[in-house]
Amino acid sequence: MTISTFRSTAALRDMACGVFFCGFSLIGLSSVTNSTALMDSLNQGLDPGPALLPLVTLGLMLIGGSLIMAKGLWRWVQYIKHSRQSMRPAYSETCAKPSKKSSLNISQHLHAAALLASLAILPSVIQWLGFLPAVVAMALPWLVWLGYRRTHRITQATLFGCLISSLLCLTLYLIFITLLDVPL
Amino acid sequence: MLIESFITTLISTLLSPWGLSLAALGALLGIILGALPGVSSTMALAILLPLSFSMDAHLAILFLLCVFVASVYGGSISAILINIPGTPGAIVTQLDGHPMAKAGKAREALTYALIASTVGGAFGLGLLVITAPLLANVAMSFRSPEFAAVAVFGLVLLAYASPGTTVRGLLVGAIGLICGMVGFDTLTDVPRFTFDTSALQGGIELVPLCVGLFGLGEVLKHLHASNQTAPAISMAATQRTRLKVRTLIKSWKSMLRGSLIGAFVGAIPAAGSAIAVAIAYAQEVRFSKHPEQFGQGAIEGVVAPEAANSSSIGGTLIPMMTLGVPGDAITAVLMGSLLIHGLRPGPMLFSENPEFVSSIYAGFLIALLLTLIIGILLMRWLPLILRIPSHILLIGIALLCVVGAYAIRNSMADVYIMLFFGALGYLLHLLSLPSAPLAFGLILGPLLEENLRRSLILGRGSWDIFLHSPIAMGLFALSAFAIALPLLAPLWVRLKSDIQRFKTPF
Repeated sequence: MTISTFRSTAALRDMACGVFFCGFSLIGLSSVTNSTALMDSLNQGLDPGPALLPLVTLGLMLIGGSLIMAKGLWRWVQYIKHSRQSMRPAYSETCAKPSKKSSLNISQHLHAAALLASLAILPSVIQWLGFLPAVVAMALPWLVWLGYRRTHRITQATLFGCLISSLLCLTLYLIFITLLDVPL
Repeated sequence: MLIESFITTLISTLLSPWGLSLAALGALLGIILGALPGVSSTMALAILLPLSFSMDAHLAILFLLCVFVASVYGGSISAILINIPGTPGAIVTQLDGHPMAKAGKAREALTYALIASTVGGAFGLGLLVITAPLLANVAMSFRSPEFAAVAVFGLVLLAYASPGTTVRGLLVGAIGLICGMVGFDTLTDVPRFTFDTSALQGGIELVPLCVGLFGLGEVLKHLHASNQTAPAISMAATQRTRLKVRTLIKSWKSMLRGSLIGAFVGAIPAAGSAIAVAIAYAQEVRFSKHPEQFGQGAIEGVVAPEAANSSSIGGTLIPMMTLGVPGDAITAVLMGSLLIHGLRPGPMLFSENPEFVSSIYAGFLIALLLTLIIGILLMRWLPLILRIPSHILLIGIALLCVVGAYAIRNSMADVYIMLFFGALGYLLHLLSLPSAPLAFGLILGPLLEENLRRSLILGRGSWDIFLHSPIAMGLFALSAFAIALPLLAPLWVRLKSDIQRFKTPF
């Protein structure tokens, strides 16, 4: 990673962190301020009320997030200035060209998002199909795909995936349903 | 009385086939999971936590302690055999352990690591047994202002030691604090942050958060890289070889030094095993007559960090058991198990549940012994364990997270909360933010709020009550210093260099 890329990444990361903290605190603050019961509890008697600590915490988070965002913006301005002075292409220009690194990142996020989505629908599928078929239906495609990425042999990955997904599901069934009596 | 109770618990566990087999299973799973690169001790404990809910509290803590202790040793296996530390605490072991393995001494290195781990663990247990009741006695005199200050200090220290900047760690901790406030307020019954959904009215439990953050979050992080294969180790690498007992005995000083450093560093909230092993290794290099041998397979370079790594376990349990402040992320997960069984760690645990305290001590000792026995028995099969393809493990863990989260209270809300924190863990990783302060915030949040409000009620609405407590003021001052230190340190360095420049003649 060159110094220039490092600077731009750090600036973007700072801004993203700032947005994350500010966004979280704004959602929290809107929840507290929209609750009349919470706002009425402030300054009522000796108990400072259930709204005091959330307001203080969220307020501090908003300030912290804003400072981090400002730092990111400052770094970004410095980076733009530096790249103009050194006659290097600006970040927007380098971004336009798809690099190997960015395609790797997208693939990484896609994998994570797809797994998260499949896990989110798993409880509904369990209710619809039952535990064993639903868990096999979820685990099998993942094991086949990840196995294929590893070995580049589809038949081996499929056979291995079938075997492992059945074993995994059976183990989970034995532990949670038979042994621990979890009503799944 | 504590010793009597300890011996009774120890004997009853050793004589109970169910308890002993559960402990052995925990140790076996701990070694295997700890040995696999990408599965930290925290992750191992988080994904196995749901299995302990249906158990009796004593058995649950025994099982989890076995996983904890064994996974700490397990981390050194991959560090020695394939030069990839299984856990952060094994990061230094690889420096000399792997060169030993390359020189055909893999089994020797693993055995030294295992014995040092047992000795260090026993040392940490000794320190825990001696100091925890004393500290708990002191903490018994604490009132609400002191506990509020302890919560603030713990949160600051835990955020301070997290990777990244202190401010960001603190802000992540603040998110944890807010998560701890979700649901009905305990004093007034007013709902907070529920967004009119029934799923959030019950609040956010520590266990789905830990399973999501340290289990699923890690899976999402490593999923894409699961096509990379770890270097294969031949089965011959760990076959029986002649062990030099004399060499091991000679390194008793290194073991003792490592154990001492590990136990004391581990007892500092948030310092953790990674710092302890680094200090232990650096000290060994300093004390050694042949420092040039370090990095090339020096036995002291394996023994001292491993002893420090294991003895830090006892250290991290001290603040958790006496003050209710987790020593690190692993003890935060362990706290989740105690809370789910209705046991709140803190000074009251010693007065209200002394038999449970002694069962923790007994469980720790059994965990050490079982890790030693299973570690020796398993040694020749270790290359096979390291050949398990990571994608199988990751999908298995992801499924275990979902089923385990549901098993906590048989509630779908816990599954969705777990998934949310899994996604949040991944997002925090992308933003280079530490995730552990989130769990610390969730644990310390209720402690802080309850004691802060109680203090203000006691002080008739005045904040002066904190000024009247020297302990609370001391802890607040230390917290402020810890926050200001990263801001002041560069200024101090600049000032020093300016003075130096001023002194230098032109």
